[in-house]
Amino acid sequence: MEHTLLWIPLFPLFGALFNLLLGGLIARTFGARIGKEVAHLVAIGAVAFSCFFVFSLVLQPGHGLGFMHLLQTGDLREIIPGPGRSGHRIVDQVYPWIVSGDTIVYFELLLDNLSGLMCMIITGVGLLIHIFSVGYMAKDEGYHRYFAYLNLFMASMLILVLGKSLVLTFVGWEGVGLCSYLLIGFWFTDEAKASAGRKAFITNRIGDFGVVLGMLILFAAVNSLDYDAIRGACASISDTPLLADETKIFGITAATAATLCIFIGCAGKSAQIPLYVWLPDAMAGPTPVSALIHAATMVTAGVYLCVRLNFLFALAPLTMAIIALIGGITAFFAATIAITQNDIKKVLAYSTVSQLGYMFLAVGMGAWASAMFHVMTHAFFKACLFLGSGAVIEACHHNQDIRTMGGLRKRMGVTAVTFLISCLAISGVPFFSGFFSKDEILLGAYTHASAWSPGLNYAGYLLGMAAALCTALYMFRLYFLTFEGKWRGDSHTWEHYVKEHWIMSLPLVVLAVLATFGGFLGYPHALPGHEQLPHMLDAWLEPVVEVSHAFGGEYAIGLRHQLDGSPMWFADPSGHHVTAAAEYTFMGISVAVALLGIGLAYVLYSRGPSKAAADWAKRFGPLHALSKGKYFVDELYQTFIFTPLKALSKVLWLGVDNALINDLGVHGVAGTVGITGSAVRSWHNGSLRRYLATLVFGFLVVLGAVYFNPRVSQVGPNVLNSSDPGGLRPELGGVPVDWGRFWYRNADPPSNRSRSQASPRPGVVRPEDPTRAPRVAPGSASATGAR
Amino acid sequence: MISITAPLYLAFALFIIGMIGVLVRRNVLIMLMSVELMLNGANVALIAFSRLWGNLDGQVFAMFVIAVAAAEAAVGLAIVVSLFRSRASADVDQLTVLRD
Amino acid sequence: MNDLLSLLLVLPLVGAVIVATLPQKETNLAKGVGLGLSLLVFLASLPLLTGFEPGVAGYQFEQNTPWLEDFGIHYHVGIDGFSLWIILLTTLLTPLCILVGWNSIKERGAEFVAAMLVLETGMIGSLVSLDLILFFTFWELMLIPMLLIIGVWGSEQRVAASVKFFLYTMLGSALMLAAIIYLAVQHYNASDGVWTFDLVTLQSVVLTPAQQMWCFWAFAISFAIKVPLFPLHTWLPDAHTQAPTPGSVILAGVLLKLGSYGLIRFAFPLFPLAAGEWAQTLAILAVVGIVYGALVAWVQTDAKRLVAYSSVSHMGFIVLGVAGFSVQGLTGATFQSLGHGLTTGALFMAIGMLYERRHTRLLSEFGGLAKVMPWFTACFMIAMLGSVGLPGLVGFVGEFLILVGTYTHGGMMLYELPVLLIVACTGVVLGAVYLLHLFQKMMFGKITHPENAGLRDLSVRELLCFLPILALIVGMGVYPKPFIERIDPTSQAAVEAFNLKRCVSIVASSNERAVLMEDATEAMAACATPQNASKVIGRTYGDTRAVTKRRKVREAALERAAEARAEAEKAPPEADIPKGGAR
Repeated sequence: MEHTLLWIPLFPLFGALFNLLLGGLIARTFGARIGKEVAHLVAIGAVAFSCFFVFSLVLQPGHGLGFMHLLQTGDLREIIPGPGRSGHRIVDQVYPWIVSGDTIVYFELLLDNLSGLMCMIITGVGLLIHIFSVGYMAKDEGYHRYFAYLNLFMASMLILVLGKSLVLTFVGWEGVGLCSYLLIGFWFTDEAKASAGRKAFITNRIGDFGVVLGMLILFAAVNSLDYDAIRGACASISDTPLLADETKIFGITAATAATLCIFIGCAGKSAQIPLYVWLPDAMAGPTPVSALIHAATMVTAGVYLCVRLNFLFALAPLTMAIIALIGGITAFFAATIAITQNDIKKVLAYSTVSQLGYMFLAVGMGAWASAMFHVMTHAFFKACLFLGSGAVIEACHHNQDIRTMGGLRKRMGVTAVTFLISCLAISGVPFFSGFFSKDEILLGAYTHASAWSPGLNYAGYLLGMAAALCTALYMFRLYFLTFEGKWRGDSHTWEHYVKEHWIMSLPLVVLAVLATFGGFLGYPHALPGHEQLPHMLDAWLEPVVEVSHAFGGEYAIGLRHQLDGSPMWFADPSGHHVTAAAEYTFMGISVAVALLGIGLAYVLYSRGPSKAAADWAKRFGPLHALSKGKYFVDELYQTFIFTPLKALSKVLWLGVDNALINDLGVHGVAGTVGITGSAVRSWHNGSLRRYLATLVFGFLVVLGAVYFNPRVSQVGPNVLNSSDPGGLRPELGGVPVDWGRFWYRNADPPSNRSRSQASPRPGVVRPEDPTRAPRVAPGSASATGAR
Repeated sequence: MISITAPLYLAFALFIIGMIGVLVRRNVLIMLMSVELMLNGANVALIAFSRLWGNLDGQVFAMFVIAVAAAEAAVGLAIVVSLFRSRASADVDQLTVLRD
Repeated sequence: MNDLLSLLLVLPLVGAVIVATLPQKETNLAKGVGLGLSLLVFLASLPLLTGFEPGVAGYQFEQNTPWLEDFGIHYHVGIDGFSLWIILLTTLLTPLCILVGWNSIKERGAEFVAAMLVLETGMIGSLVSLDLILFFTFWELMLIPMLLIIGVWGSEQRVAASVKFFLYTMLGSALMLAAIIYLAVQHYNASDGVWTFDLVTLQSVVLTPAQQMWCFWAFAISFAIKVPLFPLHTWLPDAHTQAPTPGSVILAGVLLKLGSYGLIRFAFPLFPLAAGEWAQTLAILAVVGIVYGALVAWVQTDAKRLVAYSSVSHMGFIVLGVAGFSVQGLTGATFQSLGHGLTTGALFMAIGMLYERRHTRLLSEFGGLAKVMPWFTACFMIAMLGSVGLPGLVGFVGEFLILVGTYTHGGMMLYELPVLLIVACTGVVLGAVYLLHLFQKMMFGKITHPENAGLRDLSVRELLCFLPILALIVGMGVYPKPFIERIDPTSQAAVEAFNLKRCVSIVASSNERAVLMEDATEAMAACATPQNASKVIGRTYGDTRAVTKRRKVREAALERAAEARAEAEKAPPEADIPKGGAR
């Protein structure tokens, strides 16, 4: 079998190995300049190859996944078959990975519509960011190491999305975590940056703990972790093992338990409450890394996993409700923090957390396609924003504080324009990409209801709207403070700013174009021209989510009217789409909110931080302090989790291990032996006569014990087995010996016992069987001696 | 007629005398001699029982003991002589090296 | 070919004699000869791999000659999937250990090499012995060279550490010897006067429940000390910290594994009823050890002590896998034994190399090493990540198998599995916590001690030590199939035999005396097939296996389907209610 898919992650992996093993050598032999050339050419080449592979596989008409067909007809359903029929999916079974007993895990890759979409985003955006890095990292001494890590990340991320089983996804999942760790701590000589990397890895590990548990629960119920197998097990509600009583854990169904556990992992990877704390710190890494890993790709892995397992999540309404709630709260909560941050990257980081919250809101409402739509548009505009911020940071000599910026539009026009476009996109201004995806999520939030808690959707919608207002506000605050107004920093930087270089501007422009037009892939049904420009993403993802749609409508998630039976005013009579009027209304609200946020930002910040802004901050003093202090979550974790745990460890080490087990237990036993020894030691004074006397005394004691103990004197198989009692003591019946006749020969047998026999040699008394003689003799001797 | 008790009494007496000698005397030489006495006590008992059972094993054993005792006396005396040379005394109470 | 195992046993001993007779002053010559000989042993052990039939469960390369015929003690050796890889690990690690101690062992080099070679014989012997007395002989033989290695070539408090190590192990050995003899006597009685210490023959003795309990604990404590299981672990940090680098490597790499190997090979199969009764205790101790070892490791200031405590944590996983006694659990435990031997061995090597340069192991003395020793950092990182259990490296496969096996099939041995596994899984998080802590303190940050600025990176010799281990760490994680497929049949057979004997023990539990399995015809009939055996055990102990649950789900679904069919036949369809419409 040809391993077509394997090459997609293999190219970057080879690139990484090349740079890791040979990068340093090449730089040393051929000089730093050529070393760098080779390093980035290899890295970019590897990603370009994968990118080419992915696009050709996905777009190839007939053989690929039929994207061209979709573009032509707007409907995939006829060429992407449902379950049971093999569709246009490419499966690459590389080798059996872990096979033991009934556990079989294949190293198997799958390119279907979902992973195809993700792969295109990853390799496309990844390629652009690789190119950008050439400019951004040009002066760094760890150049080849940087590109090696970046390539390694690409390989892991591609394995994550291409994996056909949860285990393989987990391989990539941990791999991207590792790369994130390495890249955040890229400048490891700075202790704080290294710590940020460690924090990211450990927080992610807490999530992974959930994923591992989820895998166990799933495996116990389904006996496989293959996505197709899980999908098969979920396909019918009536007899799925995931809902059966027998597989319940702590009283909740396997589906709910597994999804909750997996969601812990998603919350870790995708920075949701309560595990989001690593992402803002992760900004310690190089800015292109923040763009690639902490905005466009890795952090969306959690969303990807939920959508990948949509059929499973749809069986667990409780989990869905929790996801929606956490998503909504995270979106709002992070957005409020972003308003008051002054570090350009911190603002973007909290913005990312907030936008990820939107995606989980969509996931929790069962709007899978909308979540993926937002993953895509977010990758475009957030990567653009991060790269833009990278350009700004580079220009300002690695200063990141927006309070000391301003007016940069005059210095770096391309960056400013692309940044503005992305700000418009993320704020939800009509016809930029973010408008379509965010609007779809909010609409979905309002119209979908949770079976577990009716009314949750309204809460989700309100949280989303509030977050949207904040988003517009903080993004334009960022834009105005950075690019508009007057320069507020020192004049040296202003005079000697680093000029824009085409290699950094090119990716910005491409991403800005994508951020502008990317939304038309999910053109809403209500808007005019729908017939010509259908909602392609919905159709594209339909095969992936059809199982959960098939029963989701009646079981876990559904349009409201299906739940309470009363058709709402916005529902299309067909029950599938909301009416155009309703869509227009929601769009109107969204646009109004976005414009309100932008207006507010304009008033407060268009000419630098205004007095009005300071007044507002003062008026909402405590709130402002909370937001500025990031709600002191880090400090809370430090006080209530980290410190007690460390103290507990100390107690375990010094108290339990050293004091209790070692000193009291082990040394206690040893000490007792020692004390006993020293007590009897004085007896051993080296005097031979003392020893001999002890010997004699001991001998007498033993002799006495033997003599006076009837049990001892009876022991022996002969005694027990024969009728002859034998033994040491005559009164118990011993061997009858005529003790009197010693010196005389006696022809007669010495006793009248019938058992005794005549001696074979005349003249010698043989009172017993010769073989038994030695046994009797000492007994007689002692008996005599004591007499 | 002599019963077996007579030689056994003799053996017992020899043994006890030897034992007391070993325990009471402090001179190593005397102790060695007392040990010989004990061995001979044992020999008498062996021979007596050998006679009683009409089994020659006991007498053979006694011969062994005598042979070993001779060897032991040779080795023991050699040790005593070397001890006396190094310590200028044959008093066991001063030989407490074993303690350490 | 049949004498291959004997060759492996004799060759190191001969080597030890040769090395010991070399001139005293020629330390390097002795090391060279020792290295050559141990490499020869390694090469000689490779035919084990090529000649081993992957799909076969029984013993291979078997050899059986009488030794002390009167007591039925035989020289009976053979290997199966459980021992094969650990033997190869032993023969691989021994030359590496001699190589890694090339510079650090300055005095009495010849004696050191001889001790290593005798130790190798002891380890291989323990792994291949199929006769309990033979096993015990090698088990004790292992002890003395290790005692010397710690006590002669160790650090400051080496004597105390070696005595502690020795006494701990001797305590266990004494218990085990008593149990071995007791078991043989029981066989003697049950078989009307046949003495044997042969493992295969003794398998057929079914002791009464009380006898099983005593014997099981005698064996289990002996092996638990070796593993070491919490709370019998306190010798390990001392021994590891004080031992010279090669000693630590071989201790972590192989010696600890003999504890888990002994549990799998002896304690569990010989006394299955008691094992089933007390596996929960072992599992709880193992799980406590996982968390406890990890937490204590986290606050250590001495790098070697940290890694030693991490061993306590990791070995907890292995014991958990054994306690569940499932196919995957056993395979995983054996695999993880290899993985842990490699990763922890590599970590100890790395710390030893630093100790050679700086003569300190304190974390506070290091920092910023990544800048001056990039290759060292890279090697350390791979070993560390393998230890953390990063998928794609060796640690993950073993942990995954152990967790999956215990969770899905451990229900006949253990109860409250979800709780056990949740606690065990926190080890996944804590493992990252303490190892990254170690890594960061040593490698990252600025160089705070000027002595560190001039440290040289790995020499070729040191790189050679790392290379095979790191290659295996990666290789076994990416492509574990050749390893697993040789372990797995043995695990399957072991589980089956275990269940059979456990079932017989249950049925025959009212017996007053030990009996042979073939004499207990009634019990054997009740346990005739593996399914029957499982059923009997399940009825007695409650079967909480996921497999059984899955079967119940399937049966319930079939029942529902049958009911629906009957319903449909009874009442002709009135109207087809479209799916989802009614709600």
